[in-house]
Amino acid sequence: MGFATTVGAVILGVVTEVGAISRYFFQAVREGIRPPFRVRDILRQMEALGVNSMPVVLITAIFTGMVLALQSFTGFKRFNAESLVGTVVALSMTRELGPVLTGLICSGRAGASIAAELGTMKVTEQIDALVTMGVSPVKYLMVPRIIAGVIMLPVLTVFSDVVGIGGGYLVGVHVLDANPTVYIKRTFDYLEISDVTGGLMKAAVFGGLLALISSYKGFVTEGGAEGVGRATTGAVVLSSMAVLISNYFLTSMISG
Amino acid sequence: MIVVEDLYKSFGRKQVLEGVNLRVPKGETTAIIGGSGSGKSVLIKHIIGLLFPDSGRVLVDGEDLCALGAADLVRVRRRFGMVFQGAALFDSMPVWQNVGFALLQHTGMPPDEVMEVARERLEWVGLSADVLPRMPAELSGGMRKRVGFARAIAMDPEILLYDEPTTGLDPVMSDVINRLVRSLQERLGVTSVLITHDMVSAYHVADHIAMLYQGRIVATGTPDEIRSSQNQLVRQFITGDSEGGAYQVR
Repeated sequence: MGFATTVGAVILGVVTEVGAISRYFFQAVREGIRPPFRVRDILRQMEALGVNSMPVVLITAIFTGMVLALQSFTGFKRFNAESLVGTVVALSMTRELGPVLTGLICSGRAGASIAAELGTMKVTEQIDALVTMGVSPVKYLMVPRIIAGVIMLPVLTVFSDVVGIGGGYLVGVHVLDANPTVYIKRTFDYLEISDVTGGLMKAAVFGGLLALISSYKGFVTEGGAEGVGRATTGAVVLSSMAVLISNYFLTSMISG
Repeated sequence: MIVVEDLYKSFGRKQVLEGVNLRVPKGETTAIIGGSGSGKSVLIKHIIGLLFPDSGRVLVDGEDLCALGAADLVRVRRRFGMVFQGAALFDSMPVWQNVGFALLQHTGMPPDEVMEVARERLEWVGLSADVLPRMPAELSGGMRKRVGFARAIAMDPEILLYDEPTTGLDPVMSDVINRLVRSLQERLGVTSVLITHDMVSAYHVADHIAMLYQGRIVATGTPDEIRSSQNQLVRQFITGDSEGGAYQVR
């Protein structure tokens, strides 16, 4: 009985949270397509979410590309397929690692920042103040963040793809002594434009999801500084889970 | 006229309001007094439509806030100005943008005119133009509170709500704030609702006082009537007596 109660409570909690997030999503769409369009706020969020995340995304991408080259070389050497290292790095980065790692990094960095900022605004009654002045917090705070996420995650992913492939090249050519011309040729021989665009579409969804979830967590914060801490942790965990789970379904849709 | 009718509100299993009835006359100041946890903040948030009751009604000049659609609710809310307990200034904006926020959002007024309105409202609350470009973090508690007042009156509201305006201030600054509430009342002729547990403040600013206790209004009257009330709950509260028997701390 205790086990069933616990499972029931967990399921109920998940369904309630998904329902609440969906309601915010539809409200954001409804209010986002109506003027005024807060271009300056969107640009500010694009800087906060995108530009400021660039260094950590690039560092992650270059080392991921380098490790990928090393690992695939070790494996492929066993059946004399070392020349395919460049191909594997390019396909892995553009189709999977570029968008997913960028999504996870932004969930941690930007998601935490969004939840902490909006959570602090909630507990200090700044969000109530917006409402009393006839301004919708969803329109004013959530919509610019979602739009910035949808735009900037693909941009970051492009940089991540390029730098990751570059990292693979550095290791392939300068550490593993591959022929540069052959490495580059193999990198692009099997890479199709749909590999890149599929990855960018996934990144756009990840960006929207993490901004939506982190804003939601900020809006429902309660209980002072401790509540802000809980909201921030919750935003990072939930955004990361959303990136990983939605990645499977998006990949199967795009590949199918 | 604001009328609160038989208002009930609970959060989870905790019943906060248990049938509140209150009338706030137009153009006068009503103070709602009560101890911590008596439901004062919850009540004031119902009056401006930030919270909605489980049952009961809040009527603002005959319009039931609970029955209004989103657009009408925004229209009614714009008749209000609210001063929050912690000022609730926007951290990311300088003082002039905080004061002129509603003007910038709703009127399309150019920034230099908004700045002029902000300067004027700050002057009304006793602050000089020097604070216009400063960020809220650079201000003292009393200054933040007064900027909150200036923001609340920027759109010339008909109704002003004050959520514990003197909490956390020293006695002299509390007196400054009390005088400010009174002077705004006289200058603007607005209907004011003030919630407080500071009896000095309530006596100073209010035309009427209502006492909230365990989710119900237990006494109403003029400051003199409350001062001389024989109601044991009121007597205990206004004299700060924790061992009188009637008033229970929860």
